[in-house]
Amino acid sequence: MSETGKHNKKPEDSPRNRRLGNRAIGDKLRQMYEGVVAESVPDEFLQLLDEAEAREHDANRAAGGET
Amino acid sequence: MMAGSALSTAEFKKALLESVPHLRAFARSLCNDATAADDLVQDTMLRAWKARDSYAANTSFRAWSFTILRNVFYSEKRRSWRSTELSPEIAERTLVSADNPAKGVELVELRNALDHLPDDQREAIILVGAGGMAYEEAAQIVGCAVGTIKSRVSRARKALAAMLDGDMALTRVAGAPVIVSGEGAFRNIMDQFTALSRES
Repeated sequence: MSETGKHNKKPEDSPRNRRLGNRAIGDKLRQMYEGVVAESVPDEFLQLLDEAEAREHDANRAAGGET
Repeated sequence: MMAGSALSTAEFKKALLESVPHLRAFARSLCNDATAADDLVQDTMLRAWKARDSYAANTSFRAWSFTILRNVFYSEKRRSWRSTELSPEIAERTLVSADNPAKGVELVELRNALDHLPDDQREAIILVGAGGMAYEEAAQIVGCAVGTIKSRVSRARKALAAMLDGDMALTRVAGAPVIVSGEGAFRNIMDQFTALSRES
């Protein structure tokens, strides 16, 4: 809101028109985000790291620390 | 062994797995469908794993991992994480939970509205408004000044309020939370606000 050269064309700036307050928007945003956070994480995500770790172990062991 | 590591391998793995739900939520907000978002998260996890020595002790792990996700997203944008137009069906599949369809419709509206924000405003409002990050943390992830994040969040809030107000008024008139009824008008309204929110 620091810009001063704005045109006076934003009707949503007037409080009268802001039926949906910042709190309501914030609630919805958090709902959307938390909804995904609450989903159970498929096993493949864990497997991905296990495999990456195993690959690293193998590489280190085989090459004695190849670069 | 690894002198620079802030966390042991096991600790790192644990921290990374714990941040996966948040990475998925952030990714889902950047990508337009859940499958692409999960691909993005898995890519991010592998990068994070390889770069684990770069995580500094006592810093926000979530911010560190989000920064990687964001880099992957933008550096590989051509790989079409977000290439498809958001369709109502995809949005619904991505967002609607089976046990509360009405809430799902609201979130589809929000999702549509978010889709009409410029990228920088969308990510700012997602990080701060949805993810609950501090402005400082969000600024670190995005790589800009704290004041910049603040103003992006504020502009995004205004644009969202304007878009959602317009749409919700329509669906309320219709009486039932049926997405198809307000859809056409909703698109119209949002096309207008796309222009507004992109003013510089």
